[in-house]
Amino acid sequence: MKITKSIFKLFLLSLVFTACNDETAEIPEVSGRYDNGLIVSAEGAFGNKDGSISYVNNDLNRLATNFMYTGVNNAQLGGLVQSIAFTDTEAYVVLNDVNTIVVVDRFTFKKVTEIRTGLSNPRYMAFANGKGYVTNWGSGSDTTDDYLAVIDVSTNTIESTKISLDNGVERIVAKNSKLYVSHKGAFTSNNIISVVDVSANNAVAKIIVKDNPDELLFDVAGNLIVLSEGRPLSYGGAPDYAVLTSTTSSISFINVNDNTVTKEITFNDNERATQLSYNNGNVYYYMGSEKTVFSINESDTMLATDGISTGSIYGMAVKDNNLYTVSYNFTSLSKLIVTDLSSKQEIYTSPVGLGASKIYFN
Amino acid sequence: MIMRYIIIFILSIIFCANNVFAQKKMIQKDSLSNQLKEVVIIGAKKQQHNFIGKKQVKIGTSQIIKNPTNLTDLLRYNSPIALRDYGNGGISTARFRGTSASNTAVLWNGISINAIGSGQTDFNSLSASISDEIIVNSGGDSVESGSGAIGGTVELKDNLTFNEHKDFHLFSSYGSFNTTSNFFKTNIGTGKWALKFASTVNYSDNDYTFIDQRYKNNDGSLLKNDNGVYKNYGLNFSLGYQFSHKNKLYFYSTGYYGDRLFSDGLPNPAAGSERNEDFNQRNLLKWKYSFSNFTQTLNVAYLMQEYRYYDDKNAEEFTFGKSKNYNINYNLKYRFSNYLKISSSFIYDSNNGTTNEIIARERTFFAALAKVTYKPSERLTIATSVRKELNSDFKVPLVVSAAAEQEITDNLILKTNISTNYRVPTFNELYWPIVGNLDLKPESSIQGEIGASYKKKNIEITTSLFYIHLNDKILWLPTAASNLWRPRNVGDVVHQGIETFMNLSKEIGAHFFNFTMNYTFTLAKNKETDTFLPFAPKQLMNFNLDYTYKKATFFVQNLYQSKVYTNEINIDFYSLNALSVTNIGADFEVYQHNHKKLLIGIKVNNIFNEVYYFSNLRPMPGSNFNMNINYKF
Repeated sequence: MKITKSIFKLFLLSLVFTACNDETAEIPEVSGRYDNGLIVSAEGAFGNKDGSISYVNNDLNRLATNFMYTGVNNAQLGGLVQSIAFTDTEAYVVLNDVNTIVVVDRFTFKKVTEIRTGLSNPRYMAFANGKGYVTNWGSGSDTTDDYLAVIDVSTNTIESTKISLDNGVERIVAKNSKLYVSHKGAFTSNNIISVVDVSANNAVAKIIVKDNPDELLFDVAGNLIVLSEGRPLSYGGAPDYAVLTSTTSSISFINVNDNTVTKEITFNDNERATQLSYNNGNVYYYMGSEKTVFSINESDTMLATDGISTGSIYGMAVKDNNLYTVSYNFTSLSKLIVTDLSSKQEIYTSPVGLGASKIYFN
Repeated sequence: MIMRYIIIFILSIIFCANNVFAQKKMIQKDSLSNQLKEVVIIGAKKQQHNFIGKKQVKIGTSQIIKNPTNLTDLLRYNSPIALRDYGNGGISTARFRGTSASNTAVLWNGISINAIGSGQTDFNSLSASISDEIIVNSGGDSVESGSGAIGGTVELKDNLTFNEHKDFHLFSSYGSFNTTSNFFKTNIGTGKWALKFASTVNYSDNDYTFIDQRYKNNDGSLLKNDNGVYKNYGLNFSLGYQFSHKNKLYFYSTGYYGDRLFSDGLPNPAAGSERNEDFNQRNLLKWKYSFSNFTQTLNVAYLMQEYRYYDDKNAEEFTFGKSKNYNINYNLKYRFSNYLKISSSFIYDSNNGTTNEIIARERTFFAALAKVTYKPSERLTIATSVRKELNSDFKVPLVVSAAAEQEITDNLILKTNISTNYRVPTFNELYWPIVGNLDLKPESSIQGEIGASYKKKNIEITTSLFYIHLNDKILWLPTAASNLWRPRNVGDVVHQGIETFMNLSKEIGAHFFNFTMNYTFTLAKNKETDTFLPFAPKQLMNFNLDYTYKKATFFVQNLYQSKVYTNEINIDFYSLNALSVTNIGADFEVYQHNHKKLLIGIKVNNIFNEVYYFSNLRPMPGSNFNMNINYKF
């Protein structure tokens, strides 16, 4: 009987012992207004539905408010946050893996509604003539079912018309009732920019650029700047699996009046850029092989030779005199780093969500 | 929710504590032990050669009929394993002691059936109800079971008995979400022949409401588990022939077909469109022959499995993975005396796997095992074993194991074992296009365990302290500056904790109580980062409390799992809340004559309507019920 008792005690002891173990301190979730600052979206891990959004005020005097959608709405976004698009009053959070757009108040991030139909692998969104247009890959294995979904932003409902486009639709920007869509190629590759005229019955024109066009930006003069990443041809070994060889990567400038490529700055063979930003006459690009952000003037015809070392990043933006980057990280929290462009000094850093990828100014 | 759990737990502790301390005064009646046999299938009666120094839980028909819908549910409420499924009926994987899904070896009559592609077994694509026994062995067992047996093994067993008997068993249940689970088993012995035939049919619309109030449709209504329908069929045919007491031939065969839709869970269940089919077929011919002090066993097996995955359930095209596996195992045992036995095995295994993404690959291995079991005294048993494997793809380390059991009193046994174990990278990890990694090394582990087992007629407690150190753990992690996941060896992880099994029973007049419980406390950490591993709960507990009065039995089941992290950041945002789920049920014997017995049962699952998750945003069902008929004749 004694032995029975002691075994039983051992068991009870194990229960007591376990009850005393403390958890790691939590990052605070604060709610309030999320204007006059940065919005950082984090993809989360693929398949885990744990994408998140962070906020940092413009003064950069506080750590990021992480998981703020969850803090405000007491629910998770529930998917991989691909991108966010903004109207004057609302923000449209595009969840890629769950075919959903969560519509929130732009400044409080309170949920307004969810759009859950008519989307299939949604990527990016832009607005023109009172409507939202969302690029959709369709089924990953089908290269012929890519399209733009059309959303009536007054009711936040999907319209029945779809605009079919070529394979691999990615970014979308709007200017003068025209939509510009880059075709990065989804799981394969493509090399065109589609121009959709929403005031002319959605007529589509195409502009050919280098392989895998991704970011689209307008310069001050209204030209379209396109980053073509080049198509990866071979990868290196573990653990980085860096792209070893690829087709030509370039930064192209397009005159949108006649849809012609007016200038194309190409990278050396097997060198490529994967991030692009524009601010006040300067073009900023990130090269993963050198883990460096370079900048050139929009009038330049040559690439830069030195830049700012950032480490491996997964997203960037430039505003005023600051470079904002988020570190590439899918196993721990990503880091938002703000660097002063003239002194090249880090002036701010804060943890943000896992897999942070996009930085917006709100 | 936590309050309820605490109350239930305290009540049960008080109940069992009373039992423990009151039982010695009880006069043990023969009727009690008879009843015990009927109600309690758990607990090894005979010391088995393979399991010296280890902790084992056996699950039989009496547990299967309480949790008949799938193997995941059955193990959740009856074993020390943490199971993670992607919603009810979805893909389900198992972890022992916080190790990974591919560190759990699943065996069918002794042969490993983990998929050659993923190295895992989906516990919702096996029919448990046609097996006679499910044996859950905690702890590494690579010497016997080869690659993957690091955390533990789950063996599905078919039993053939030659003594003259005719047993038939029909079970059928129907309940919420149009869920039906059925099996029919025949077990016949003629003296010379032994025959088993079993079949199972299971179906569910599985369209339960997501009761988590935080997620709703735009009109305020709750969402449903769209696209979750499953159906599956299983057949089992086994035959044994006894030439003589020393010369027996057995044949085992089983087939399975499953057709499931994969739900997408929250927040947009309507986005789900995936479908998955599973086929498997397994055959084993076994010849056991004894002469003088030798016993030789020859096993020849052929197994095939295939899955077909449809990205769009309405489309014709699918991706697939399939494999064919030949396994020959020759074992020779020699008994010098009751105190010294030696055993040696030679295994040849050839596994041919292919998917639409991977051209056919073949992996073969030849392994030689030796084992010595020695009893230096009546109360001490020592076993040591060693395995050397020559693998066509990898240099596999020599693995060893040593175990001892010391009887302290007639009721108390101290147990210990130490072993090295391994897992060879799988075909997906190596060859999947773009993401496969040919530089992977096998995972290897060393584990130690020390425990005690106390057994009396109406009490059994087994407790083990365990420690596992795993080197070169393989994890799929995002790489290549994208959200693209590739496998790589990440370093060392350590798992330590305590695992306890308890069974108590008590009879007061016509009232009979039975209580079984599994409790595991685990600290599973990445050594480099000192963070907890994902999906490894610190505390995992389940219990079953049965109360029988005359022809009625009432039972309560509970599962408690503490918070788990979904990655190694270890903050609440990336975690699943602790959960406590309680089921209740009752069985009524409506007819009994000789060994014929008809029972009618009812069960309410998740009686407190708890919101709970095993995967992020893939909710499990709220309260639901089923009714069943259970006829033995």
